[in-house]
Amino acid sequence: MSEWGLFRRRFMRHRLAVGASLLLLLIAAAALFADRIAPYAFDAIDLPNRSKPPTLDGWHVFGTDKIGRDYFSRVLYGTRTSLLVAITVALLSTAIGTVVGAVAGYYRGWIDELLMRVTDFVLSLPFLAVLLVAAAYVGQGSPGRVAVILALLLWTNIARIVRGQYLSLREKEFVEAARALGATDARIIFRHILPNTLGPIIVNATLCVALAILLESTLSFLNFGIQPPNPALGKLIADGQGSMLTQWWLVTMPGLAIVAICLSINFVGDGLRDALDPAQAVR
Amino acid sequence: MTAAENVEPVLRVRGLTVEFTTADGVVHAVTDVSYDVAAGETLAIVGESGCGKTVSALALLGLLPRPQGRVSAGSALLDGRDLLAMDERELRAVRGRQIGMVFQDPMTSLNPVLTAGAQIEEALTAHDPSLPQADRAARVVELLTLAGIPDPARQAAAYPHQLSGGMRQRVMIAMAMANSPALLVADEPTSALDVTVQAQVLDVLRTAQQETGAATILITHDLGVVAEMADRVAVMYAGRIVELADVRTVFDHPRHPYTAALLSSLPRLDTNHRRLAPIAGQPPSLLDPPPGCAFHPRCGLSDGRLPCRTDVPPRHGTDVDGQSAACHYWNEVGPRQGTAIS
Amino acid sequence: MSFLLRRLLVSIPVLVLSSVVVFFGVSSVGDPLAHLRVQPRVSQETIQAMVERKHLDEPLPQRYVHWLREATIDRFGVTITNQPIWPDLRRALGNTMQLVLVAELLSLCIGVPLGILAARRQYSAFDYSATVVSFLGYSVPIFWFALVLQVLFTNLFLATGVRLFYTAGLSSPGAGTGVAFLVDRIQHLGLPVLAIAFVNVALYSRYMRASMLDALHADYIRTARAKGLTERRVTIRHAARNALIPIVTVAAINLGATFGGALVTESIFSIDGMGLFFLRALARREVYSVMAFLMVTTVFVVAANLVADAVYGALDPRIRHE
Repeated sequence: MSEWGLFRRRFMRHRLAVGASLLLLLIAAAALFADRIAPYAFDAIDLPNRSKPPTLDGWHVFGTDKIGRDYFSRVLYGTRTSLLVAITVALLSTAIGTVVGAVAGYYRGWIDELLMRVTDFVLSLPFLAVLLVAAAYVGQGSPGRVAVILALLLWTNIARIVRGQYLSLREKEFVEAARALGATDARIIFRHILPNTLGPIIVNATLCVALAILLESTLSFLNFGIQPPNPALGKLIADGQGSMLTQWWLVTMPGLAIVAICLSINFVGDGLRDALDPAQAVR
Repeated sequence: MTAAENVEPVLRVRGLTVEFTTADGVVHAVTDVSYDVAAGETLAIVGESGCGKTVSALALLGLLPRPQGRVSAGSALLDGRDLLAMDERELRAVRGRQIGMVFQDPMTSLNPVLTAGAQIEEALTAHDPSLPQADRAARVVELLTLAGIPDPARQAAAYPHQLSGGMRQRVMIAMAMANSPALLVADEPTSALDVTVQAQVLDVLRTAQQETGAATILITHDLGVVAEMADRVAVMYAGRIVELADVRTVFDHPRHPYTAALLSSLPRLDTNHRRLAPIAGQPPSLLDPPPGCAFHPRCGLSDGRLPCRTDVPPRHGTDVDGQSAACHYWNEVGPRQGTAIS
Repeated sequence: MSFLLRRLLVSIPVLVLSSVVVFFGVSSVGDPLAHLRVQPRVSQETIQAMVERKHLDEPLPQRYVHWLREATIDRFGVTITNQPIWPDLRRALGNTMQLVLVAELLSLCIGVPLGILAARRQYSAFDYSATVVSFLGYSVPIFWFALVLQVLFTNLFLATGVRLFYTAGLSSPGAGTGVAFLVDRIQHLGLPVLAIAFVNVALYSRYMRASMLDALHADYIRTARAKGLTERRVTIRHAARNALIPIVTVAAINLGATFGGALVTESIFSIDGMGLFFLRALARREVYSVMAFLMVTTVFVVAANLVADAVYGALDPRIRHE
């Protein structure tokens, strides 16, 4: 059975992960096609229907907010923004972390020392605080900027893992063989060793998406993240905070969306981890 | 040297069968294993990796990985009590007390965060909790001395990573002998050690055995160790015992083609063979064993004869005493006859 | 001991570097006085006085040196508007410490045993439920969980008139002394601690479970059983003792995140702690307060890491003898 076939078989054994992937695909698809699916525009004001709890009447399944905007549409668009930002963050931080880790692990010596000191330094910064400072001064507003700032702080985990992998893989014979055939360092790093480290990288990238969503929504909640008119789930929650005792749906719905996405991602990540590294799956 | 005629053996194993349930099916790790071990006697269990020798020993102590492994048949009488029928509490009283076990890799078999002395003490207090502190410390030093460790008081306070491989294994032996067990089981005690250290550790084992008169089961794949230490030998293949005899007989006149082939494949300095003679083929899958004798696909003596292909050979010869071999044509096995490579 | 000393020496440059980076970063992206310049009631002279007092007309490196001197000798000095920083910071710090320390301790005391049990009963219903709860812990944003708790307990109070936990503030006025004060404090801290601890319990129990499973599959466990030890002794003295070692590192690394969680939680529960201090300073672009906050937090994280290293050394003799 091919690598892909084995992987698929192992992944399918995790019913929870499989179910979660379906849910995730569903949510992602809904968010991506928000324009088609949303019953209303996310900023369509409808004062006569304001502050309604969830109801099937007029398809306000998540209710409406204080000025009558359909909440389901708002949550949907917010989900789209959050997902896009989170995926960008994951891709960026994985790219940075992989390069840093690969270089550190492959070359060792002073390069490794230096890069590890940098990594330690970034890790020692009080996370959220630095995030907020950066956001306050530089990144506020556009999803792009928020994504970059988050990525610049989240790459360290991947870097550590990739470094560990390279430290052990560089001793293997296939590396020596490649070198003997005249391959340059860059080629060895990316063409030969990297494919063998993809497993942990993929798992980590997946989990990074969940982390990014949580961080981005926290930033938006504190009003330091994505600004209106761009919708953001954290901002929706913040806006609804004032009336949350009576209009519970304003805070609950976006929160449930976040939980649903993150939960699915975590289950999928767990399933991927077991499927990609069967040695671990024994437990 | 051989089993005393009228004395009950310390351990009497009959028909031991162990199965493992895996995702791919049931693995028959050990099938119908029977042997006796008498006090003061060393029985060596020999075979290649995967033949079931370690599993059979673990089964005696109830140390099979649960829930996959289980003993599906057989009895193991230790001084008259059946180990395989005991519950966990009874087994715990036996482990480390009547049976002491030494494992293969002393680096991983010792707890890295506890001192050597502390781990030996544990073996003592597990079975005698009321032992006073002073007595415990004294006994630890006594055991370490018995195991040939210099400066025992200081080494007792050392951690495993501070000791050399040979020293660690001596600590393991001291730990196993802490309560003067009636049976000592040593699973590949020297395989993880340097050759130079191996002889020393084997000496320690022998001393320990002589001092306490314990029955010893020595599991190994190294025929040199067998020649050095064993009184009797059980040869295992694919989960079964294929030959059981005293050590001299096994080396001089094996009655099973596998044993003969093993002996033939040993490199020797005193003959003029041009090539080594390995045994062609692979051991069979224990997941789905083929019918008949497990060795027959690789057996030069069998030549594809019918009984070998269809019937599992019973043990011929004097059962569990003297020599016995599980081969249909055991009488035809000449000295050093085995498979010939093409 | 030398091991700790080495770690301490390495931490100092990290601290200094942190401060340099943050100072340069924060100072260079905006005029600290921008806020005030646009206010019509603030005169030019006042602004000029501030510029001079804080040396804002000098180049960045020199400003950094001024700041460093003020920070170390004068306890972070004063804000742009000439308010001393330290008294507020110290009070806020004390409150946050209570929150964070209690939350960490609680998380460890619950999470570690949970992980051990889950590992012992792998694949049982208990294990699966623990797993699901852990995953929830990873997936729920702290600020949302805090809000939910607020709503729940406020509604509980409104419905039954019973005040189980308070949803705002640190103490009730007139809370008394001694035991009464303690109980009142617990009632106020209960929900914020819960909000923070939920995530940490998920983290620690999950890591402990994985660590225990590793330990339980080790050879020395087989040896311990072969000696005739009870399962309880094997689990605790042998497996857990070894499994705890990586958890120390996890807890230390996680402290930064816990601080972040405290930050958010304090703002929701209106607790006068570092979180509120920081957010207010940030909103007003109060550079010096922000710097003070970051330095103090970094010092704590570094100190916590040192403590973690010490504990690690105490637990693992292999490290001690390096």
